[in-house]
Amino acid sequence: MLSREDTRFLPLLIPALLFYGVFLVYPMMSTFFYCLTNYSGLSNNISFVGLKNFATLVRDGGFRIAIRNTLIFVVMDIVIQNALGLTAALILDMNLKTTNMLRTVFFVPVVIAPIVISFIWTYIYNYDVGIANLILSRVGLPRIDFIGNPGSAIYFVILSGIWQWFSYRMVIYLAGLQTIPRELYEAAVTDGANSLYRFFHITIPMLVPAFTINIILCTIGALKQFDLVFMMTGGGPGYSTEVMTTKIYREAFTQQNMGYATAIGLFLFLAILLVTVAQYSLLRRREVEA
Amino acid sequence: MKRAFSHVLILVLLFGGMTAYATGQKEPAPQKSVHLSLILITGHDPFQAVVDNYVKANPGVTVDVQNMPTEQFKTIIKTKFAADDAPDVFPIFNDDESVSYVKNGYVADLSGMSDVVSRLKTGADSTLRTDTGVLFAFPVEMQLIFMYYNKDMFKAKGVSIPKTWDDFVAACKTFMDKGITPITIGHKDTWTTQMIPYGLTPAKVHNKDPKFQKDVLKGLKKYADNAGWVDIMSKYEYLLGQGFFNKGSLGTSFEQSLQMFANGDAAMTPNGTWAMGTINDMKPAFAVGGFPIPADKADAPAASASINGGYTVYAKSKNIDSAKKLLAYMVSPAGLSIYLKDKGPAPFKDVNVSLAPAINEVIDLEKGMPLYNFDNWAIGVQEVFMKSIQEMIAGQIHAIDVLKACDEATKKALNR
Repeated sequence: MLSREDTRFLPLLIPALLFYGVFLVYPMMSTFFYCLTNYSGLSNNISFVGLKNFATLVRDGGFRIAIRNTLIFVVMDIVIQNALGLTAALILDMNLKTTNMLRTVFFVPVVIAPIVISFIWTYIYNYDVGIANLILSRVGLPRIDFIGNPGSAIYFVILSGIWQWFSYRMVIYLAGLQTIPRELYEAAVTDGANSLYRFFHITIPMLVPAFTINIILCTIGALKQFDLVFMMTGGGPGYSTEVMTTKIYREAFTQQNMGYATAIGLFLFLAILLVTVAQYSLLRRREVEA
Repeated sequence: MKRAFSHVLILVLLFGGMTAYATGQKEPAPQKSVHLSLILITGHDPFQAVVDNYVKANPGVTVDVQNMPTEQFKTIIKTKFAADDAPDVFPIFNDDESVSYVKNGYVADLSGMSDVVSRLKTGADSTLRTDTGVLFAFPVEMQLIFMYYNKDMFKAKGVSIPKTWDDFVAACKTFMDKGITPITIGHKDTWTTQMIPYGLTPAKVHNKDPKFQKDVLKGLKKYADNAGWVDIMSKYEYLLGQGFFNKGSLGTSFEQSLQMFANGDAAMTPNGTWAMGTINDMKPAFAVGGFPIPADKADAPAASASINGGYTVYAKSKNIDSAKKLLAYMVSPAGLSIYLKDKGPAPFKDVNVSLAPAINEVIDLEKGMPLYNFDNWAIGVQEVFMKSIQEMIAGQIHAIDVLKACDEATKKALNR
């Protein structure tokens, strides 16, 4: 219960609440309206169509492809980004002479704009002149059509995103590592525990809060992924790298199906909400107090 | 004390907010100054110099120019219409989508600009008028689609310009046997997938049935039932099956494919007049030529040429008269003589530009051929066409499936 003194500061919240209401709450509420209409995004003739857009979702093969690719994004991001992030954090925690240089090298991709990352990796992946294929051909291996092969393009798009963001995980893990009391390690060494034992029985349990936040952030980031896919492949070849966000974009702006696009957007919102709540509940139970 | 402090804090924050608001307001414009906004799409960059000249000649007029790729522009303009924030002057294309912009009141009727209209070549505005005669854009270029080729390579390998489809396939086989990539194309950028079909539709479809496209838009005909379209897509699939395109074309962008051609790594590349400037910038060490993509010997030849779009004025512009003046200058002889360097023929009677040798060669070869517009799709169908061709290139579907997908998309568009 707020004290009388505290209530005097409530009016200071008005500007922030106004901003939040106009730019977040109103658009979100509009989604609940437009997803039940045939709004094209251009014409002011809007008709109520009930649940027709959601029925289309169920039948739309393109939507199933988008869900599949989004889930691949989530799984790969969670596993590989966290593995790389933790490894980089452990290296930096060793306080080597090159720690400062390594920290900079690891973190540079995060500060590069996604559009630049997309251009860089499109050239790296190029079949004829890309550096990846030049290396492969020099060592006698066949060239790979990285983002031109519909069967594998999505994986290589995801890998370029992982390259950009793993150091973000690293920062969180590094912060977690540096809060682990040294006495725990000293006591374990005294008791004869080797480094592997210390890693699995001290480091990992004490890093669970960092795991929680990183897994949740990875999941949300992967579910919202747009710019990398849009710039590198446009959802192609064909529709093979389409994800939920590019599907929303295409339906809204190319197909002029704004009503259907908002229905997909609502589905995405609910998916992010459910997954985040489930992950948080599951992972919180495993956290260990120091 | 705390109470007084809280009152002071609230007052300071409110005052600060009001001050920020006040200083955030634009200074009232000086008398007679006009601020216009203009979007230029990729390839239309020479217009920047035209705009700079206009601003110099018109003190008091400022023009804010934004540059963006075509596909990005096509989506952004819709959000700008919805937000009532469209630029005063912007590019527009001859398609159903643009007609919907006109019908929804976003695009001005330019028919009243008689001094500009009277300068147009006959027929140059035919693709830029609605059924009710509204002129929704002024054209800036006549665009041709053809095959760019490496003249030195053709001469060195003893290959002449193909006049029929069989000659063309034979030329491709010759280059392949000699270890040269016959055709380079950037299939990663979806629009490039249209070059081969658009090169062949004039002879195989429009020359045989000039009303075909209009009938499709009325729901009376289908692409999959048209022998010409079926033959075109089968030929495309044949070229793919023979391996005549650069490997990894689905991962190659438009610019990368032109670079490959300019480096002499491929004999030919299909594209439009808009690519000439980019090829010249890459400074190829050989003479660049052009020839129309040939159809079968039995088909009467026809040329793929189009006024594919132009520039227009936002109907709800606050400075509509000034915007029209800017547009009129952009398409004036002074404006187009700068813009059309290394591009296609001018659509205005009083604009004479020297064309690149490759384009002159194509025009010579197409002399006497009827010209046909290369595209006019129902809303959303063009994207389905391009994406389906990518799926065909990837081997996921066949030629006929591309056309069936277009028919399904057309049906959906017409039923809305």
